[in-house]
Amino acid sequence: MKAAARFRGMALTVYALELCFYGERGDYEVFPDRELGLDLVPLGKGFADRGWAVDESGPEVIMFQDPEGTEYTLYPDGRLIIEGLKPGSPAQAWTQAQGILGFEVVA
Amino acid sequence: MLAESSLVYLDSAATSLTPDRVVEAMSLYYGTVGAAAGRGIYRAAARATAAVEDAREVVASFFRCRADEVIFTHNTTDGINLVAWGMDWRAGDRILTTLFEHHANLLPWIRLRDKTGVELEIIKPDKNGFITADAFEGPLARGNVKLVAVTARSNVTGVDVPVGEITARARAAGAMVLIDAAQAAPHVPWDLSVVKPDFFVMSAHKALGPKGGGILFVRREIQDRLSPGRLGGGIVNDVDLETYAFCPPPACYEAGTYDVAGIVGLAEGLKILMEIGMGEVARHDRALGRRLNAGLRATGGVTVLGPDCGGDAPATCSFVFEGLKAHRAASLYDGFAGIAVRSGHHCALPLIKHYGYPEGTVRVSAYVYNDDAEVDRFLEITADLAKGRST
Repeated sequence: MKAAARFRGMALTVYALELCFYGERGDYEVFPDRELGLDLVPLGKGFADRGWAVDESGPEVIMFQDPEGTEYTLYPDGRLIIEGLKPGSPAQAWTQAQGILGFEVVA
Repeated sequence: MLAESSLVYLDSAATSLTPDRVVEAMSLYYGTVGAAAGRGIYRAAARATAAVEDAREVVASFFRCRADEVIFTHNTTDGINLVAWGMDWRAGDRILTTLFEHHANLLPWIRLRDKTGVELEIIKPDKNGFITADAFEGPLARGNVKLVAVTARSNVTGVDVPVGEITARARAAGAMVLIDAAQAAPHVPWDLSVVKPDFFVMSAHKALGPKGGGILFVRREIQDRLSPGRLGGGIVNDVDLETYAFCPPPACYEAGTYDVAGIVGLAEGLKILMEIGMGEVARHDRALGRRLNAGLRATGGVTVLGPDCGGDAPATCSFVFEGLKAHRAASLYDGFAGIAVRSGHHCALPLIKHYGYPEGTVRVSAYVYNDDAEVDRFLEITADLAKGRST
């Protein structure tokens, strides 16, 4: 699925892809149509400050986990891997991604 | 071949890269011909028809079969489905297949069992992890086997299946044989006049060709036992409002407008492989496979699925990390090293469950354009990831 979105005043398209999964676990990749150039270090610190478990934090990737156990891998270009949602819940992946990347869906 | 030239592409079991020559051949068709094949009297239409028939001969030469045994399809899945839904099944007919199969060579048979009452038997790997010809002996001896549908190479582990021996035994028992060569066709030489399967399927996109093209070989002597699965234009000699009469094969299996550019691209990919020489392609596959498998099996924190084929290891294998999930691992290969590998269950869930990793594995697969340095770079990153270091 895809949607028009706005990120820091920039219009872009964001895609959500359901990765292959098994059983009760659904994995997703959310990615924008252009590189976002995210500064991951402060983002990682922000997640840690929220009390989320940050497994790895650096300028090239951050890997973290929310209190529900959902795992995230985020790259500076805005690609986000979300692991551990329920299968068939792309809308939830979309919501999670909006919160983490900070984009606003406009259509 | 790739705009992003720094990419180390190790996902050829999913789809191979497309050489410039293939793209140019396809582009040339659209730029200079563009007409439909088999549909017109004008010169451009004749050239399109010639392009399709020339491509058919290239395919026949590659697989050492007759041109009229070559049917153009959309891909391997399409070819298998044409067989599944084109044969005349009776309740009690038996189909043998294996646990190594891709869903493409499993789901049609499961549905067929449910709809028609045919029996489906799945051959499991032996204690060493291999599918052997001996494992088919008992099931064949029980009789009524109409079809043995078997992959020549697992798309998960890369392990080869002795399809030549299985074909010989199955045909001796009166069964027909379908070989799924999606993985094996691009990597090893084939002589279908010697192996003599009844059906043989492959995809263009794994053999340097474009996406959306494939081949279904149907042995000439059994073509009357396969009904055309898609009906429409270009497949009939006569039609009235009550009935119709099919053209002779292969045209009767190729309804609708041909993807001429795709067929031209498929043939160009096979020509490149023939120029390299399939013996050399196979040698390169084994050389990279030995390096990959030995390196992965020596890496702590990594478990490789399936048996160790040693010197015969093909350049496709799947593995898991301790404490690092497959999708995350695959994204890290890309994020840190520009290495493209596959993650997930590879459309082979029964096999992945058999190995105990239903959440998925990482699969690495090399091809003719990869070299030792790329494999070594992959192994170096693998060791880093296994140690828990991402950078």
